Amino acid sequence: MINGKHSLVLTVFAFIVMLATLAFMSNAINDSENFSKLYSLLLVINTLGLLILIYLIGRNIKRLLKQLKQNRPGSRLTLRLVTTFILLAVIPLIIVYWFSTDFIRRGIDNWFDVRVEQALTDSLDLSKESLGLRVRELLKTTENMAEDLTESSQSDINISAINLSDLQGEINTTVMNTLDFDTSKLDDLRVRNGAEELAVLSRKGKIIATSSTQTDIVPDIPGESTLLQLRQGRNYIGLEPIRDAGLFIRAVVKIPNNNLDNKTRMLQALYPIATHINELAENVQTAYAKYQELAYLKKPLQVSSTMTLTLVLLFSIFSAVLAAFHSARKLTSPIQDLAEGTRRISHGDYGKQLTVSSSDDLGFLVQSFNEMSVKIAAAQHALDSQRTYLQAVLGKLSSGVLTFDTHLNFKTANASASQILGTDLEAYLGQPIGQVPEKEIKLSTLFESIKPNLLHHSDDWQEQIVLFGASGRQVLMCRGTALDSSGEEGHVIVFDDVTALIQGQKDAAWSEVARRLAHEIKNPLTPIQLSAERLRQKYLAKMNSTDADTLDRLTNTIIQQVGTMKDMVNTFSDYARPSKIKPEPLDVNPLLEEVSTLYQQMSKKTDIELDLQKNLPSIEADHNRLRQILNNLIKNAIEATENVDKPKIRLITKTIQTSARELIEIRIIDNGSGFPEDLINEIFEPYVTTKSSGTGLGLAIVKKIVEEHGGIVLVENNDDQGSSVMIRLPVKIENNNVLSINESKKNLARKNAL
Amino acid sequence: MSSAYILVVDDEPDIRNLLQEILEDEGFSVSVAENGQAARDSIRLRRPDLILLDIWMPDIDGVALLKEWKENESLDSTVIMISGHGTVETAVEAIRIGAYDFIEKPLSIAKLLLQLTGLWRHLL
Repeated sequence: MINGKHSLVLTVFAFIVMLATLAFMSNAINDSENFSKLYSLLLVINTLGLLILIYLIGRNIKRLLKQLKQNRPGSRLTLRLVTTFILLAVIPLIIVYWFSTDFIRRGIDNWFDVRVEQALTDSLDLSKESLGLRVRELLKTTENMAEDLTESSQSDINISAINLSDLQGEINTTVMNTLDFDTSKLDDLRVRNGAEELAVLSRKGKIIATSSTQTDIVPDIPGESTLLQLRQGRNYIGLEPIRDAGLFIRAVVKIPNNNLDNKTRMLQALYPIATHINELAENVQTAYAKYQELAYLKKPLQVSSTMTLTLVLLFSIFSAVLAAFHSARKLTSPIQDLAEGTRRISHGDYGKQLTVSSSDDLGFLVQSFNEMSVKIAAAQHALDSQRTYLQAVLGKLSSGVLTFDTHLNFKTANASASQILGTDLEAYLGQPIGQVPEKEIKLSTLFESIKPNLLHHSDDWQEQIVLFGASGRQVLMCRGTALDSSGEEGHVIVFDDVTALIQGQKDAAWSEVARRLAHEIKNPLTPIQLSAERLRQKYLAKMNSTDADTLDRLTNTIIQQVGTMKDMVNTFSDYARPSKIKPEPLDVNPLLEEVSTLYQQMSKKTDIELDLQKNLPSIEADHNRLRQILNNLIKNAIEATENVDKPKIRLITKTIQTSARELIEIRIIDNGSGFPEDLINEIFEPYVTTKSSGTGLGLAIVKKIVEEHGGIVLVENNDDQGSSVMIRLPVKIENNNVLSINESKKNLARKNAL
Repeated sequence: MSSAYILVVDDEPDIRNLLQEILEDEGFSVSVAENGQAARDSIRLRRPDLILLDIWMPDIDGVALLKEWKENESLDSTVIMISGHGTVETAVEAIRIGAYDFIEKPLSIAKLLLQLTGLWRHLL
């Protein structure tokens, strides 16, 4: 793949080479000598150049098509721009080409027009004809001069033969001297007839007399062939170059011989030809020659001109196309960048910077985009940091925070909210307030409770909400407010788990009550007890037997009742006492055996049956508290079965393995009277009892102790007869991880068969 | 044994007087104090062999009073704590400070005398 820079270099190179060769070609047409030699070479080079251009254009088209197929931003614009540019360039070019070829064809045709050729031929003939006419005239003139010479010399010319060969060295003086008279005659003739030079020659070509416009030169002697022609009796006339002074007309005639000495004489006359006639003739001659030459090349000239023009056309078109691609790309590349940048920003990649490649409107646009991008990134960053800050604050808050939008869709929740509600609130974000799954009992209860407030309150509200969930009763103090006065922005709810607080307050109150009660009751009991004992001590021995019996019975009753009251106060103190268990490893089975043995001895008619699982894991529990639970429950069971024919109590232990942890289960099942259905839900509340005697705190204390151990206790009536109590205790006590009622209920067998 | 001198500290007059009567019948010499200040005054007059000290009094906690005596070493008498709202923790605390024993209200004469007999055997 050639990259953009190489492509550009290649284009420019091809462009220059082609331009140069085209220039050569157009010159070559006018240079017929080098024409055919250079032309083919240039044609080849140009064709190669065109091929390179075609290759480049092809690549550009391919790339554009690929971009169109990929639906790249800006590719359609590129296509439109390229098409427009090409149309703009090509149409005028083709029009110019059309007319140019027409002109060339017609121009060359006109150039070689028949009339022009005829005119040239005619003018050549004309020049020859006019020259011939002059020559004939001059011959005539020369012959007349020869006759003049004959007449004048009949009497007085007596030219003695001189051996001219002896006088070669000083020919002029000799002739001048001997032919004095002749010279003046000749001069006269020469001037009269406009000759350059006149010379009288002997038969052998020897100069006898001469006359010239230039006095100091030796007359030009005609050639041997001319002399021969004259000896044969024919006069000579012809154009000859003389002494480097240009063309002269040379006329040589025989001087008529009517002399006595019978010697033949010749007259030679040299006439100048008019200079411009000479030049014109020469020009005509040259032009004609040139014309002939060109006429021969007429057809190839036409073809090559058209070819050159075609090459120029193709070259221009291809260059225009390439330029169109180039400028379209240059124009659309910032647009593509912008499109790409916008796409990136819309995908959340803020702060994308584009390179500003130009200072025009597009450059300004790109610059604006960069500024916008930076600002968006900054704003986003500020927003993010603000959100992070807010989240950090909310995360550190011990209160739960929930927000709802206008349509009461659950929008946000902090970590504390999830922790208080014991569920991952992230899973329910975005859901409408009414669409929480039923398994999320606490969450749905909370939402149901706050919904009326969200619907009807636009100002602050506060409500204490009690939830019953997996970890038991939970009291939440909720405060809510609309984010604006109309509730258009949604609502925010802040809540705290005040269960522990309330429980603590309750515990403290109970504890204080117990303390006071103990003091206020036990203090008066002391003197009662002491007095009763004092009475016995002092008077029992001194009384008669009847009185002594009475005193004994009465004081015993007092002492007994004081004891009962003391027990009651102590039990209450136990219940009200703040939790302080001392967990240590404990095996439940031996404890059950021990307690059951005790009660079996106390209540012989009751059948106490043990169904204990072997290898029951030891648990972490307070030994004394657990014994207290078992005492209370077995005592209850025995009391419940008092009026039954065959009282029976079953004690069962087993291990329960839940997904979260390992538990042990203790069940006490009796076939007694069972619990009244109306009381069964509140049987663990203090002072709720089915018995006529007792403190009413037995089951309440059981529940308290079980919960202190992180366990759970449930009662229910059996399907047939009696009731069962089920206790589940974790093998390991974990904080804040009380057993869920649901998992316990699920596993509590409906039929507790005895 | 008859020479033993007992101080009873309790804010309840009935309890104080009954205890005094019973113990004097048993042959002890007995003084009473109704609060912490009276107890302090009383022991300055005569050092008791035994103090029966109520925990809950209007002016001062019995345990605090015991602590005060033990800390400034102003008292080497045997102290038995009496409490109406006795918890194991309070009893343990009192004995740690220096009480000899801990008796829960309501008191029983028989039990008290048994304890005193045991104590005297121990002291002698």
